[in-house]
Amino acid sequence: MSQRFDYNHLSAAGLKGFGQVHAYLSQASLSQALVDLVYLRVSQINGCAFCIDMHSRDLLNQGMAVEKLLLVGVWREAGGLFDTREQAALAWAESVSEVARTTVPEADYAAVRAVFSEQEVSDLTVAVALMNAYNRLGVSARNIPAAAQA
Amino acid sequence: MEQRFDLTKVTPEGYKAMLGVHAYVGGCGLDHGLLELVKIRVSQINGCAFCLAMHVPLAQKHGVSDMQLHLLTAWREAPVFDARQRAALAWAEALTQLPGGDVPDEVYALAAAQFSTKEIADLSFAIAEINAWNRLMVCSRTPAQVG
Repeated sequence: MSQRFDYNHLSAAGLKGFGQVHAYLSQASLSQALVDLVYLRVSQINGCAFCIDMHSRDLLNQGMAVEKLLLVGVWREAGGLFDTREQAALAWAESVSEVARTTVPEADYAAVRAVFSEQEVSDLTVAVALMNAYNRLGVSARNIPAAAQA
Repeated sequence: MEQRFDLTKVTPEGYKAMLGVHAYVGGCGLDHGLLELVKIRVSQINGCAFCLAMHVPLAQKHGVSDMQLHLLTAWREAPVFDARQRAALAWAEALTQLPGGDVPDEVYALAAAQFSTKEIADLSFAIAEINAWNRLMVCSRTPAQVG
């Protein structure tokens, strides 16, 4: 499977725009580890191999145990492996990613607000929205994951 | 329906960064009427009233007809969209819904028959952008401007 189009070059200024959202998030209210965890989960939902590869590596480089990484996709059944904040962030990421189906209902908002401040929820939502954008670029362009490029 | 949080106040730099993407899409050279059709269709799929209230008048401003707006939700069966619009709408739906986690070859072929590679890349940015805005506005329950 080969790449369809290279948006890095074709729409460079557009990618730079999303890059500024990304840069904002790295300085915002949430830890990089939590943001990367959310990035991975969203990428799994949307099926973006390029992004799954990238964010799995980021988490491993930050020290996440591989046993935990392997269970991100099934975090609800992973016992106490994911702490309260991680679980709340992952649940919100899923609800927001699948907005067409979920409509992000009050129960989901109440659950995330029980754990995170308004600032944190807003930043978390921007992170989920951003990764949903990046995934759509990666999947449609058939970006090749780093692991397959060696 | 009460607003949950105001992005412009709580996440102003993030919001401003998203406007940077918006500016890129607006200036990339794709027809504005076509861009509005795509943004409306995606917002319909994701159920974002704020975005629909904003983009329907913009579409009208850029020459989209009332009949096109009425039939957009059923564009596949409607006679009022040309080949370029149909290819763009198919691309928009595939990127939004990601059937089986993929954007199928047949949809890419349709797009490639109507658009240059750069246009496809830019259209993909527009679709990624509106998908992001839909999530931000639905989550925050920002009220649609219907005044």
